[in-house]
Amino acid sequence: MAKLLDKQRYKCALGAMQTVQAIDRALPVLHSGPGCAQKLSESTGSSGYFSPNIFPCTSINEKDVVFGGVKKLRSTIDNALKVVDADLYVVLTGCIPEIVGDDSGEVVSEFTDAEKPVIYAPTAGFKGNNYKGHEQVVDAIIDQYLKKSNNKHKGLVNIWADVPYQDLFWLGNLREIENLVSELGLTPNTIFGYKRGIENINKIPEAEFNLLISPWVGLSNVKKMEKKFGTPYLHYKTLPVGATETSKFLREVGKFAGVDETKVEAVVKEHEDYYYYLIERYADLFLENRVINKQFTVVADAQYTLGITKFLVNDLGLVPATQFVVDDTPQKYRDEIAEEFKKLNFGIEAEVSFETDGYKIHEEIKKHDYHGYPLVLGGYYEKEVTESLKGNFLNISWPVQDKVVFDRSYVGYTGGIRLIEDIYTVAVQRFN
Amino acid sequence: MSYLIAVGSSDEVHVDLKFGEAEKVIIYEVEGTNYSKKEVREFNIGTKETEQTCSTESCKSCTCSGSGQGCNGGSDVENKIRLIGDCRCVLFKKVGFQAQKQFERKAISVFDIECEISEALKKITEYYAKTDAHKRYTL
Repeated sequence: MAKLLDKQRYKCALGAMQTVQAIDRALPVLHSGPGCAQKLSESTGSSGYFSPNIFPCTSINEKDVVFGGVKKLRSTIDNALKVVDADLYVVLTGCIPEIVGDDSGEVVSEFTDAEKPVIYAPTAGFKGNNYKGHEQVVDAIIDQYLKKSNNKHKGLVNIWADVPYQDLFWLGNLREIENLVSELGLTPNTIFGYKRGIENINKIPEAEFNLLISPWVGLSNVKKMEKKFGTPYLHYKTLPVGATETSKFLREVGKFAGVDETKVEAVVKEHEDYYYYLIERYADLFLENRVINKQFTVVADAQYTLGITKFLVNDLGLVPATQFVVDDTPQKYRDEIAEEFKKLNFGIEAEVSFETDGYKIHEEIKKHDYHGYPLVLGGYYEKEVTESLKGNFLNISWPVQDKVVFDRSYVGYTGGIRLIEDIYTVAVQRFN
Repeated sequence: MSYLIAVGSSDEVHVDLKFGEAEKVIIYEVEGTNYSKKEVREFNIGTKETEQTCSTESCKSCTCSGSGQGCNGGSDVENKIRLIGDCRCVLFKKVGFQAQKQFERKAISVFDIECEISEALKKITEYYAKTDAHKRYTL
């Protein structure tokens, strides 16, 4: 019997056009039906250079299914190179050409000698969701564009964290991680966002190591880079939100990079002093039991669910109810991620459910006894169910529909403070 | 169940006529993946009746898009499509945008291609046979 998936939190792999869009002056060239880009694009801001949903597209139809669409793909790439001024052209294939068997890779290889780089990522929907699509795009850059470099730059660190646009806070998060890494005396290198782009992509093989901050997305990419460029990687599974996790993060990165311990501790101390100064000022508010919830639930992708659960337990002392990971995490990573939810302070362990069906998640939330008002941090889909339980709701994961995010961040010491502000802003409102 | 395919060809070997310039079409009847020529249908463009329906200057001066043979205010296109309205799809070297839309309205698929008729019919009949049976089609 056919299964229905209610309120899914991801898109098809072709959604990776947002990953391309996040690279300054990189252009997605779509080999797909005309509706795909329209359905996948959102009004969450453009690249700042190209419009968010006006990309070159082969707009394939029935004729191309029967007779093949490679001719159209060839002319679309050819004309995109002529009329669109970009630094990198990334051909993304949709379901139709992949099913009928268009050899898109072969067509793209004909443009090896083009003035600008043209690469190709197979992003058919049936190959996975946009988290996998994101990995495919980074893979395409590694495989088809970058070359091994013998010129290693001491202290240069490639940072891989968020999936742009899927996480609305991606830009702020990346910038904050860059700042933290810089404070350790290292040189951060990211490829997404303002003034990064092709120049930073070119630096990837020169890095001393790759820093991956994600439970699973991007792990295959850094492994690939280790194999191809000989670049070692540090896999830090938890998004560092708040003082506890960020200090742990800085110490681990410092140790891996061989940064002097005294220097790391000095950075940690300076941040922690200010962080706890702020917390102390509002200690009364936190102690007011009536304005905060005893138990909480996070409904987000693995990265946010893990990061925020650790923050709320370790920094705010809240008790976790079931946490939901909704990004369709591949089976092979699930046990390892579930283990991370057991590594919480005060001997607390959180139960985690890898569930993609919104209906089932809502039923679980309704069934659970939160010992008071529930605190739910999730997608906009959770707003209604939280309200029906008279709980407090904060929209932190896709879909985000009740806030506009430019470059805010929930990462680091500052990010932790922002998240506390947001949670308590919601909490105090119900009494005013 | 059998269905019909209309082909624009000057030599009955190649798909080499544009929809607008074709004065006749060859109709093939398909059963499964077997096809055979059924008949030839004449379009009768520019009959007195159609000429009378449109007498504006712009039409006479051949400035509007569409048939490529001079315009009869869209009535030529409509008449031609009506004549092959019982076909499942049509094969021409090129089909104009307006005509494509008219075909779409009647749920007739348009394949604008240039190749041998046998090659095109082989691919199309295989495609329909598979999709009708809900099987996967690959090139």
